[in-house]
Amino acid sequence: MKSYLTLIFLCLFFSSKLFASMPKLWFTDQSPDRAMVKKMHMRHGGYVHVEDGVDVKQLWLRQGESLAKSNYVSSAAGDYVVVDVQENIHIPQIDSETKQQSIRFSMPDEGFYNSYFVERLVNNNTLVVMSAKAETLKHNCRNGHKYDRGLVKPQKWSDAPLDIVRLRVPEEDFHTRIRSGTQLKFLISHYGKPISGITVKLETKQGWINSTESDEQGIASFQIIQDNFFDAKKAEKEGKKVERGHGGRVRVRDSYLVSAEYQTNEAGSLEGLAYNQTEYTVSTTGRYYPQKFASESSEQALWFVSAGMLVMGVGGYSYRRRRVKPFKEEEFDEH
Amino acid sequence: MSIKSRIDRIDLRPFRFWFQLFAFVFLVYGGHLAIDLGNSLPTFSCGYNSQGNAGVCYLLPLQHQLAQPWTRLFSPAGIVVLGGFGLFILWFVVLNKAWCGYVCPLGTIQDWITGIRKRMGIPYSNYSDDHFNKLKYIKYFLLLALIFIPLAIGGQFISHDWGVPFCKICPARMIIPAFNGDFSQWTIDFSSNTKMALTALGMFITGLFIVGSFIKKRFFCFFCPMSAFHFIFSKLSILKLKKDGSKCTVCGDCYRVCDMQIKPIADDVVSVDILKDDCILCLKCVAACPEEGALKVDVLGKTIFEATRGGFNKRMGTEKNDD
Repeated sequence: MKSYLTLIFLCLFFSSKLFASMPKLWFTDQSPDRAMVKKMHMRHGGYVHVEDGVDVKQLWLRQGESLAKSNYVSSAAGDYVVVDVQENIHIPQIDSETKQQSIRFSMPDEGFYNSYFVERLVNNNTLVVMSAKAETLKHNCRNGHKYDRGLVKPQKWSDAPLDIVRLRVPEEDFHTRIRSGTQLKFLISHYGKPISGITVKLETKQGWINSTESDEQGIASFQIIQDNFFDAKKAEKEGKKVERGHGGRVRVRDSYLVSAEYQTNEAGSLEGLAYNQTEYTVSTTGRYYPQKFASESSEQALWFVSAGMLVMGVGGYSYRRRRVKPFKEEEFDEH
Repeated sequence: MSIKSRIDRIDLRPFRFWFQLFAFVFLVYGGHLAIDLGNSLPTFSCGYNSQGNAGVCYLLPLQHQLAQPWTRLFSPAGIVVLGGFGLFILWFVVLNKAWCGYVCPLGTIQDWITGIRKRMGIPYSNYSDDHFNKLKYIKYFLLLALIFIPLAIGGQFISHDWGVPFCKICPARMIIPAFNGDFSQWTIDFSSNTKMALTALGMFITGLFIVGSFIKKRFFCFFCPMSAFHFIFSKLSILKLKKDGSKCTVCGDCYRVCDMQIKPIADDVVSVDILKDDCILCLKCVAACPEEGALKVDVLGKTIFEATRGGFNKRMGTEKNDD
């Protein structure tokens, strides 16, 4: 009996190792320093610093198997690139003040900025090109909402070894939130060219995982799960930590991580180390929210409108009736 | 006949109707033509009408900005609030409370509902003097609430679910986007108790608005916090409503035509600056006044429209008597 249990345990242990995901690398704008978060400004595209009136984004690298099982990266040897709204390429400033490595770049214009980190190393005769990507929005309502809709389109960097580009949902603007049930589409490209047949995996922080292959146009589609967003009040009563934004707002949302892997037979050498195949990986994150109408009711609203109309109608009528003075004939004695 | 005489004899009703219609189309649909007057308009150009608005009512960004954390609000970053307020004042000084009488889309909708009632031959209602004097303070209460509730959010005394509290209960949020076919605001948000209560109250007030505007002229304007906000700064405006009490015979014509039931417009023969807090500066009182120069509208001290006997007779169709 004991040997059987040991065998089962060993099987489970090795199978978990066998099927475990490769470590992934991605960006986050959540500072590891809570004191810093309090000094930052919340915008539609997340937290920013404001320096001389210009929004400055700071991004940290995280690495791990999944969103839940990951850590900040303290140092990483690779190249950082930022593609701005006009698709100009910049090398961001690496912030060495914090323990965890981060980059900072200014976002003077409204629109999307793409940040990439690309790390290359040779391991077991394989060149591993590991990329992280973040798409960050700069939008401040103060700048108005009559902006060029072309700014909503995703930016491209044709030199990205492997890229995941989130295609826009219909009628997307700077305020659009990805919600449960949304059909999300990602374009997978290799040095700017769409590639088909690539396995793309999407996993949420709560653990839901789905994978698919990119089609002939290089597009991978996922329908975001109709998630069970937690009851914050109940969680707090149970002593669990609830993420709150400024003003104590409960964050009813979840994050997703999308990753793709691509292998080629490209051979060569890197820093004197020869390789006979190349493996590209890329990961990016996003957020999704509950369905807008999941907690809203038009039917109940119409009941309340009707109640208001009824109260005003009856109240107005009775108010008028009460103020009508009964006819009273006045007689004057003229004598 | 001089231009001034022509203006004094203008038939105000069609002029106002067309002006309001133009302002309504401009503010409610102008966004489709990429018109953007910014976020500081002193009128109910509802920000929730995101598809078509040509500018946003100042009360929305004001509540939004006041809900910032205090550490930010009371820091140099809080200058943004003053910037928005400065723009609001710049817009406001041009038209004073005529923003309500001539531009406000929600006011225009109420005038249209009044027009329907008149065509149906249903008489309008008025408040008793006692009720009038009590109810008029509601708009100040709402103004204080829309300032202090966001401040309390920023100070973390209350939840962010209270965000933009006045917009949540304002009927413009439901009614103005509906003119663009957007009924997405006609919902009750059950995501929290606070949101549920506010959105349910908003829907209830929308019901009150629809019927209230039918039986009482400019029903909602009496409770409008924007009107109270305007009144605080009305002295700064270049547009003034003035009265010469020595020429007034207290005939009461001005009071009878007043949609807002403002009695002092007839009774007060002492004040020169006769603009009251409920006034929407529709100028119907000036048009209805038969006494030469008793009521007038000044821009930077220059009279642009005043009560004249000739103008009164023309509007009343009794011009021959004038001759």
